[in-house]
Amino acid sequence: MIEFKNVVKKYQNGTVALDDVNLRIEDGEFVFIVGESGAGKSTLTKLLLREETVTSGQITVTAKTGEKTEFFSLGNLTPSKIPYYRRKLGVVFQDFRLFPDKTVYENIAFVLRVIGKSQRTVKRNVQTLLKRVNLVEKANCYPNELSGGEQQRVALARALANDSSIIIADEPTGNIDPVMSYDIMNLLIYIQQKFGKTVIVVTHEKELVDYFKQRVVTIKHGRIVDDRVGTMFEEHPQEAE
Amino acid sequence: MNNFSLSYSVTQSLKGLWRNRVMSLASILVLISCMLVLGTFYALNLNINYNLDSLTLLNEMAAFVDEDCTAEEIEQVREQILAMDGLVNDVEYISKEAALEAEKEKFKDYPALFATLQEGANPYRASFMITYTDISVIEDIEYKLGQISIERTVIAEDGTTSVVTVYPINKVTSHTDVAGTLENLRDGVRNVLIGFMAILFVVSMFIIVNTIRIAVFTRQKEISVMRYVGATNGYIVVPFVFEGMFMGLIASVVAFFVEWIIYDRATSIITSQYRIFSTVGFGSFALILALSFAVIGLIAGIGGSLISIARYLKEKD
Repeated sequence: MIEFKNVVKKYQNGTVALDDVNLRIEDGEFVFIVGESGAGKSTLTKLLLREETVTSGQITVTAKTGEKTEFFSLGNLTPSKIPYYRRKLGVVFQDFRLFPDKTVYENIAFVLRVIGKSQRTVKRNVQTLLKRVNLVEKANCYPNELSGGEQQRVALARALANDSSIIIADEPTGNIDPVMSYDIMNLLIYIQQKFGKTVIVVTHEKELVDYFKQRVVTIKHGRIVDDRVGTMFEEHPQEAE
Repeated sequence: MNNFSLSYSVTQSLKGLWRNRVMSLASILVLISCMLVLGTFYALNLNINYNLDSLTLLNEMAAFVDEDCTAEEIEQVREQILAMDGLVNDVEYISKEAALEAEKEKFKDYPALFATLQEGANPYRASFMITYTDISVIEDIEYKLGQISIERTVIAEDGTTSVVTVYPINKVTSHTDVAGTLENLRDGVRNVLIGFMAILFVVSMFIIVNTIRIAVFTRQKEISVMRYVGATNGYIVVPFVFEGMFMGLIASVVAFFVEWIIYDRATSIITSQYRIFSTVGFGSFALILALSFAVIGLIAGIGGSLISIARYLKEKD
């Protein structure tokens, strides 16, 4: 479970990126975080990844890895504890952030090796993940030999590698074509439904959000202005038409 | 550190060295020059000391004695000199005759020097050749030599006898000025060595810090992914530390062999052209030189990379 309580984030230049945000995301939920550029979506992601700290308020995360449940209060995390917290999250970026000089297999295996898994576990888990994202036959390809959608599937497999219960996807369809975008989103929903993962997708793609009809949290000027299940909130729907 | 971490760190550090080869090479060259300066001054210092130690004139002084001294009095004086505990190593009495013979032997190729001496004439004086423990005790010995006295029975013209105190040492010659000059030279060489070392060490650290900073910059994306997937700072730092360590070790190995070649060449030229100098063999200080180079290389390499990566990670935390 993820909980934001009265969260305020004010940057040193005076910009208030988030203003009194209260948000609760239950285990196994699928949530779209939407909003225009500068609304505060990126800040919310950065706070969740513990790249930034709150100015006031509290963020708590309860993460499950296998049978183990751990509680994190992000404001109290010391720098030495941050890596261990991040191992409970899976992150997917708009620009994929794959290692260009590593094969698909090595890109996924890298995460498992960083967290100290044995060679045998690495081999077994990477094979499972490749099957899950349907890329078994591309295991020995390099990222530049893959399409955008395929690269994002590799990134998704990497995010799943450490068996984290929370997946954060920051504009995952921003660099891929519309058809592939639906493909990636379907995969994320499949992961949420099949494996009970909490999936948070930060996006601004209205069509995609409306198509999947999940919980949609809308941020505007640093505040949550709408939280609903279904299609995206519109202030002036008649103008949009 | 597991097998993957080790092999990953080594591979990444070697890749980093190659990727930033120009800067890496510059760092290695500066480190080599630092080590060569150190090695050259160290060898110079060793050789100066070696030559100074072999110059007996620097640890000997001559104390000339009253010509009227009897053999018994000479022995008394000798015993008093030897009694100077901790100051004197050895005393040798050289009679007038022995002194003349020694000079004749020394200049045997120039017999004309002694040709003008009349039969039985001897311009030399009897002396004690004193070997002292240390240059710093010269003044002390000189003072004590002046205090040496013997009791001599004198028979007056009218046949009466009296006992007088005689101070038999009437002149002392030593080489305090030469010794002082050489001691200053030795100190000078050491100070220059320390100064050069400090400057070059700072320069090499600075270059290594910048080389690693470039390496960090080129791998920024990779580091960011590592941080997101939960890599600890230690895991991120190790490849860069290895990179610095490799630079230091490569520099120390190259510097050692270059120093060896330079030293061998230089000593063969010096010994063939200036026979007065004798030189220390490279083998006698090769181990300590190799260890010093390795330690300097490792400190500069590891220290430089730690400074650089620690600063980067601190900015990101």
